[in-house]
Amino acid sequence: MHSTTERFSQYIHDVKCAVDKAETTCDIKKIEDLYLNKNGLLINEMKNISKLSPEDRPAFGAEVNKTKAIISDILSVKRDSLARIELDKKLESERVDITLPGIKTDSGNYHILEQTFRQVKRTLNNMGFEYAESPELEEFKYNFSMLNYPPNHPAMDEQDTFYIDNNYLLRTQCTSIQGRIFEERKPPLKIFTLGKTFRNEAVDRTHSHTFHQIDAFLIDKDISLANLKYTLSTFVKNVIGDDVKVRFRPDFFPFVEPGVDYAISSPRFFNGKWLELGGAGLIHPNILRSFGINPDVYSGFAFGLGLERIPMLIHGIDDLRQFLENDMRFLEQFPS
Amino acid sequence: MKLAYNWFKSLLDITDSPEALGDILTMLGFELEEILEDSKGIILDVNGMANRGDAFCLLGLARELRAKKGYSATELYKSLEELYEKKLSTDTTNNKFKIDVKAEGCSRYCYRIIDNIPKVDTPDWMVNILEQSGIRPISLIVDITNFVLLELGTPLHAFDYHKLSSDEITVRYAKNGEKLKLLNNEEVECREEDILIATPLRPLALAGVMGGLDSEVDEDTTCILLEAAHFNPSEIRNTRTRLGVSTESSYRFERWVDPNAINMAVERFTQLLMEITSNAPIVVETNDYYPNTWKTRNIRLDAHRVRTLLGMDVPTDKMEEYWRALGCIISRSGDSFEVTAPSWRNDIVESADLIEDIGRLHGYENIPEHPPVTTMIPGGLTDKYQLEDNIKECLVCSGFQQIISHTLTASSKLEKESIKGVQVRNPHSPELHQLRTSLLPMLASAAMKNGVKNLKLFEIGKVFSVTSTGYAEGAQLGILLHGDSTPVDWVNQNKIKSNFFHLKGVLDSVFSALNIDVKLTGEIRTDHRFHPYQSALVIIDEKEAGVFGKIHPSLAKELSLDTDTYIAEITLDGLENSREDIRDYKILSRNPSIRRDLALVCDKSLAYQDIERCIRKSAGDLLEKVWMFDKYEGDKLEEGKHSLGITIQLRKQGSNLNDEEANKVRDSILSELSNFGISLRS
Repeated sequence: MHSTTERFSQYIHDVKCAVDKAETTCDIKKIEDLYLNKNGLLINEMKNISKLSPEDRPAFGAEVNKTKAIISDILSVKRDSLARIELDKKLESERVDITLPGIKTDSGNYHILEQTFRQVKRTLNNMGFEYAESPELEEFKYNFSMLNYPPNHPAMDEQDTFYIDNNYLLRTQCTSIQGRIFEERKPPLKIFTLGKTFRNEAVDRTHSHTFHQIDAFLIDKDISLANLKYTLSTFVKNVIGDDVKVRFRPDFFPFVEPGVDYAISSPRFFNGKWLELGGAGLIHPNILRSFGINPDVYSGFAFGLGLERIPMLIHGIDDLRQFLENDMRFLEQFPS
Repeated sequence: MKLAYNWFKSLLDITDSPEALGDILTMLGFELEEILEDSKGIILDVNGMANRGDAFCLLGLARELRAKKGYSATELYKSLEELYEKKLSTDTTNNKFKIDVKAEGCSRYCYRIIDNIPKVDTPDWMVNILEQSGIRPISLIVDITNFVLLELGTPLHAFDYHKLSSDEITVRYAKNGEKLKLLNNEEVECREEDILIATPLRPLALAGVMGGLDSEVDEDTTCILLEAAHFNPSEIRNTRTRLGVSTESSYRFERWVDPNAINMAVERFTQLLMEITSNAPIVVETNDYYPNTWKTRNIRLDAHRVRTLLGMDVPTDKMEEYWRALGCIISRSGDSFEVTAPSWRNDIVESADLIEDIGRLHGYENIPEHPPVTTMIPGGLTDKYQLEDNIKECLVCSGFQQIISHTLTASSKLEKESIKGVQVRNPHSPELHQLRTSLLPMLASAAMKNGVKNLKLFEIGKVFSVTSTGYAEGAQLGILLHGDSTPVDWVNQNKIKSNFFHLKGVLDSVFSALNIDVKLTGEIRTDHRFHPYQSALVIIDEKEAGVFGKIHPSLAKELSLDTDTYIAEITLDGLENSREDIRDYKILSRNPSIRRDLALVCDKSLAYQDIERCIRKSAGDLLEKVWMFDKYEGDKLEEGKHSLGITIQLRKQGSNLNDEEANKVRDSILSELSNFGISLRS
């Protein structure tokens, strides 16, 4: 009995020595094969159990199993630590140069103006304005007469407006939508539009015969200039930035009275200088009256602005011509 | 309008700096353009407001400043107020000279004959003021007329009396073709809508615009006929724009000159002339034709409404104060007002105009920000907008760059021949004479600009055409595809050039995303822009909605485009109505599907579409999907034949399909296909 215990202790000792020398999980596997697997030393020990007297057998069996468990544990601990090292080595061998360029997906891009359209639409939609559309090739009456322009107003000159014939022209302002809406619908109205507008102008860094405008109006009972100021202020804060302030100053447009020229300022642009953004005001009572809307009950505000001004300010674009040139070197500067 | 800063001080006791004065004017609506300085002093360059004819002069702006800031008036200011009230002598019994006003566009005509004018130089102070305003001094008489124009806004004209050789002046419309040589030495040919100042024998001046050369005052002039008048703004404007002659006078007449202030200008001229020449001249006679005195309207309004529309809490007493400061006459009962504007304010025609003045004087900068309290109405976007937005999104996600291009353009070979373009009557330049009829020329020019390589471009925008009833404006989608179909990079070196099927696939994905049932299989053949055998129609709801395919090689060559350029032109109008709004949910089957691959050898002339149709027909209810996975042509096949690899996917609802059943379906398909001479590849 004594010699059996010693023998088993010797097994454990031998295993410990072998394990200390083991360098790979393969080495561990060899030790495992030698002791624990088929034809292993401990398995062979078990085969000898039949040679013992029946009363000695349980103790011997227990001794074998205990030794197996101890060896198994020793192997397992070492195997795990070697496996970790081996995995680390393997992973290291898989090292890539992470500074190599990434494989780009085939991504497209919205035009910078479209990005602005979308932002403007989202903002005005969220403020409860409904989007509507009206023609670019517009009737004279919607562009001028219905907007309270007196006959022979300078804006009607051929030097200012593109004409197709006496009744049709290319709209000079998106405000032309007002008459089209007023003919069809009654207040309350809260509408905006945006799109191309045209002026007979030479093209340079700050002028173009074709540009885009936003136009919005709201008609309900008791609408005021203070409401206009709030709305414009909220609009520019959303579209251009929270730090943007709005200033009103009197100005004249045939379709509003009182008329407003509004400017914005932000420390980010031109040292906080006031920059004119567009025209606005309360819709002229003549216009309301001409569509059967009683100006003593209803009032409304309208505002318009050049859409290109927004990306020009935000991105510091200094050449209006770029917007419709479709130069990829320009468009790709503004990925969406 | 340039006015010397110190000149303002002749009318008002101004203590504010030029910058502060500029700010005040800006916030009153008269925007300060810039502050200039020359050797004689500081000049304010101020923009007028188009509807404020009264404020294109020193007095007009001074009135505004006085109303806003309460500056006290100088003696000169007070004396001008008196001159405004002073009637010109209308006792014409002893007059030798006659006036006859025949033109309706002239509502007031005054003259004053002044004799014995000595030869005296214009005093330096007047020369300085004129020069600072950008007006060249000429001679004492002309200089005083210009000075009065700048000071009071009323244009005056002096004729050399002796050159008139007549004792009668007629204000009449011109005869067609009547000629007149103007002061600028240019001869104009008049039409019958132009107003002329004439003697019975000849025209003297183009009314409101410029005097004639032959009655000009010169250094020998000693006697003048001074004219002051009111002309209809739009008539002066017509004449001025047609003849292309613009003057300080026409500028002001076009914007309206106060007819009630004309006497003031005549008196002011006389006063200045007398002062400068030590009372030497003699006023011979004066006449004033003014049959209907101009009156502004009485406007009723309520203080409460003023506060409501401005959104600003202006006390009622303040309102009264502001209107009075502007020269209005007020009758008030509590919160109700009846306001009569002064004669120089022809822009005030209704309550909104008076409300604006309260806003201006109380200060637009004091308008608070109040959220509008309105009826709840839904915002939202139109179906049309949603459609276009979805297409844009789909194309951008498929790797396309959106472009936005000009509407005004020249004709192009890439336009459909049958469409007639809308022409601009007054194009800015000859190459921008037409409204685009198609987006393809825009895409082609963008491709050219960017070097025609590996491009995926699209545009959505308006196109225009002439129709039998007028003009049509519609939304179009244009696509241009060229070069590598997927990005080639250091990992993927496998270049696959985009072809017809790439474009077809793009369109398929777009319409599938829109949930629009589309057929991309109709042959075109007759569109000169396309390769006749690599192009197709886009059919939606059995109507032609567009065309796509390979560009015609001859056209590609002509436009310097690569022949491997693929283009699509699709009309978007009304497509929003072709969208199936709701996709019905199909229950997910628990039973597995079975696939069978068929390698079919068939005539190249046989359309895939027909083969697929045949498969669908003969497969029966078990067929779930059919798709093509391979196409092979080569030596191993008989000439004129190719092999198509087609997968059929079968599934049975409710129970599992076995191989035997699947094979049965396959066999019945093959037997049906054999009628077309199609066999399995061995």
